[in-house]
Amino acid sequence: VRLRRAGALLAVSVLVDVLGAHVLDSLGLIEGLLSPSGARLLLIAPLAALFYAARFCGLFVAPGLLLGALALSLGRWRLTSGD
Amino acid sequence: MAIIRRGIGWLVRAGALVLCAALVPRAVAGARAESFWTTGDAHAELARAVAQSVSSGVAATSFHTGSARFDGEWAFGTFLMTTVGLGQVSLARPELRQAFLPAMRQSVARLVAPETNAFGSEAWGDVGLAHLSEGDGHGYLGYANLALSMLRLVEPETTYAPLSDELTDALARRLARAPHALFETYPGEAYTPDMAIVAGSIALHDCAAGRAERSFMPSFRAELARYIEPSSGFLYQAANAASGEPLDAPRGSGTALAAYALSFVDARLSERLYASVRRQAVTPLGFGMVREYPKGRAGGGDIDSGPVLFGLGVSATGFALAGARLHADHELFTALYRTVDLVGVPVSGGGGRHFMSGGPLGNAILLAMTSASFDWRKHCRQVAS
Repeated sequence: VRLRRAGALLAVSVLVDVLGAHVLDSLGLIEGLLSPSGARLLLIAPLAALFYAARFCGLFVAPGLLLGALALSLGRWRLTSGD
Repeated sequence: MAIIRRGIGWLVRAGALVLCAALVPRAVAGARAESFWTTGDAHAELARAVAQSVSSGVAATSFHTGSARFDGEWAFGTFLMTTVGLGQVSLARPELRQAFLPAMRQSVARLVAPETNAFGSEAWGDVGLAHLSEGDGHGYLGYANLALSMLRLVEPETTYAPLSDELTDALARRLARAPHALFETYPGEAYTPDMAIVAGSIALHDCAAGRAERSFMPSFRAELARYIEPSSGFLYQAANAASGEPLDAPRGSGTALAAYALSFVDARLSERLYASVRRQAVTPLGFGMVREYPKGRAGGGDIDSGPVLFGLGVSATGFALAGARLHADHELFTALYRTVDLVGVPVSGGGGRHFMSGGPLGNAILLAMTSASFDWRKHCRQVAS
């Protein structure tokens, strides 16, 4: 994964994490999941799945991809700069 | 050469992934753990949000578990945990007492209201609080009594003192009469964690009212310890009140809750139960979770345990925070908190900072469990001679 893509993945994950938390909070995640209303459940369940996927990606995956891409870019830069 | 370079590239990427997965999530999710350990600002923020939630009107109709009894229990649990949690924070930080007293009073008022107790009244066919002198059973009232006792400790002049005395005496009579340290929560249903709560509520009341320990307490402690399953150290969750025969598996959620409740009765028994909870905890990547069923034993989730994933219980994990804090297990407290933070997701709003996925009950439980301490002992009234 290239540096720019890794950076973008981390930024998007963090953004979805922060905004998604507030959206799900205002929608009432637990109340929605327990709701007898199918429509509310249909709205909240996919949002919650997307939110947690982004949160876990932003914490467990994206930082490592960015660090790896950063390390490789640095290595390439040192090679091409003849250092 | 290109193959070697590509191989090194993959190694660097894999190393970076593993390193970051091991370090970043635990650092981010654990950032506020210390504040909860020391009753710092994070605690005060959660307490404000929980107080605000009660003020905005939680009721059984706020929940939709699919069972009227469970909806009622969840509202009842929210008022209990709110009162206990705000009380514990107020004891640890007296400057916050005045700010939280109105919400504590409001929670207790709702807790003893007929509509909040409807789930128990329907199960028994009578109103438990209306027949305290001659009644029997109604073990769920121990939870209301724990809240009344906590309010009494924080506000000795509370107008609920007569009800607190009457309910405590009624529960004490029922527990003293119980042949195997159990009386029924609902007809035909008796639970050991509920009896731990009943005993805890009596002991906390007696601390707040300046009364000596009741004469049946030593035998109650010995009888209750007989429900500890020897190999796991977990408490059997349910038993036959008449025969004392266990009717359910030993469970993490009940054991962790009992470890908290018994801290008001017997610190050593509480510590013994917590040690069992500790043995059944796992901490992958620094995130703590507790098994609902002992290792090697399978079982599903229910209304008490919450969801059980790979044998790990949501309630057992949340309730274990109290034991960790009570018994100075900083390491597991931090690990458990990281899990709460990761899955719970802290957000600002409602006058404080709460956990997005907690809902009113989850946030109130987390407040009560993360603020558990032995501070109450410093506030007991002197026993009248």
